[in-house]
Amino acid sequence: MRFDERKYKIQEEAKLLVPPPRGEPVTAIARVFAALADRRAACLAALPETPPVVELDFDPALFEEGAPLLSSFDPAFFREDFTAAAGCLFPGMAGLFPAVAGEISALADAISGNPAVADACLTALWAEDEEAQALWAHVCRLCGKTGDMAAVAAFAAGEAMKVCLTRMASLLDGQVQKESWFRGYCPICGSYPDAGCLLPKEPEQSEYLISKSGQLHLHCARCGHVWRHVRLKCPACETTDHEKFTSLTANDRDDERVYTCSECGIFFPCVDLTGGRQDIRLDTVALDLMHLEFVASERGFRPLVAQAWNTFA
Amino acid sequence: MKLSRRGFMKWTGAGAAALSLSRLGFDVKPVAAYATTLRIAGAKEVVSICPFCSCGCNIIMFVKDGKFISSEGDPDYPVSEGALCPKGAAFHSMHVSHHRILKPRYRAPGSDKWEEKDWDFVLDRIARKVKDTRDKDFVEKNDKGLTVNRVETLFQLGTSQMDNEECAVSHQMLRSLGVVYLDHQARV
Repeated sequence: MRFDERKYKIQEEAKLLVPPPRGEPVTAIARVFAALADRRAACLAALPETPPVVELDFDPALFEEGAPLLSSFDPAFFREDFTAAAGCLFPGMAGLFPAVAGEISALADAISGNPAVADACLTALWAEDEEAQALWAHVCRLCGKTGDMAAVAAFAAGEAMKVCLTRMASLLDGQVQKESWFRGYCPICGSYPDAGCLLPKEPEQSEYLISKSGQLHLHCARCGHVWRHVRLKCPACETTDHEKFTSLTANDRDDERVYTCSECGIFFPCVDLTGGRQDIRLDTVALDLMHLEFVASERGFRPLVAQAWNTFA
Repeated sequence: MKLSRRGFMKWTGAGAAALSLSRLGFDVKPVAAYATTLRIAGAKEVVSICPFCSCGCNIIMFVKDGKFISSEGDPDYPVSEGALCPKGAAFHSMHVSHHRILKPRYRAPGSDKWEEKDWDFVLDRIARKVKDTRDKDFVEKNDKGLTVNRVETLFQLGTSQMDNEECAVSHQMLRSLGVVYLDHQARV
């Protein structure tokens, strides 16, 4: 009946001996997007030395109400960063995605030759639904292309924007008041997370206490900021109904899971790192769990953040 | 260009028509075929409360196909932050332990064997024994004439497996009978 710490550790280590269920069709796609993540990281060095903002007027009351730090920031200030990021990232992206290389190159040429294109992209990146469709169609016209290119332009511009926001996140990280942020979206840029991870807490001071559960940390899909969130609560609709918020695992690897919410219909991947796994990169966790995202998608759930790799149509 | 607060909030990547893997030139059919080979399991994580002591620590219970498969402390519970004492940490072990007795057992006077009995039998027998003992040994007043209303021939030994509510009900019942000797297994 007594809790056996040694036996527990052996069980946890044994679990990790079971290889993660990765199939070649999935890893082939994941490799391409992981290479894209690497290129984004490399392009941080190409950004102008002076960031668009170094300090924001912080309003604690607004923040506690749920307004991210950048909520009052004009995206037009990102023009220089965005142009530089696109100039660095797009040639490599065209190589990674040959099927849309022409469209990415056309966007790259338009951005470098006409600042209005960068402004149009920045406006479109934060628009939603029909307004966004119209704005991306406008970007296509500025590039001399038809509306068919809109989705590719949104994808490429979104990737370039991730570079800009990643740099901003590292600068603004210190201004985030972690103790007053309990939202499912990023306290810096307002994006929902693309993945979560369960991290072990600090070791217990008392030898009479056992702590083996992981705290949920969410990884922002755009700026890469990581923040803590309540574990059994949907980041989108905030339901805590355990009948609606469930997890899917594959081949008994319960350290890799996709949470699904039948209340709002979303899914997001999560990896449990309390067992000591070191082979995980937070910016590519979602790619590692693409097989589970596919299963969730097949069951009618939609990704919390729609990305090219988790839109399986 | 002024950004609305809504614009920055809760970006879901759905601003433009979602770019699919197929549009990027990937063939999704092998992924679909591979997914059919996976053994997928669904689990629910249910927050419950440790029954062992008055700390009432939250425990996350993992339930798969309607069965309780494991447990761990709730890292979001503010008091313990996921830490559990050895009893709470062994909650699942206790639940599935082969030592756990699931049906009442009875050993008749003089017998060396345990027999499985139904609840009606054991509850009736316990009630009968308690009633007889109380009727026989109940003390209304002590030697000095003071009202004491007690029974000194009944004794209750509690257990750490009893939850708070069981302890409260048990205590009230025993006191109403006049039982004064109550103790707890953890103190023995």
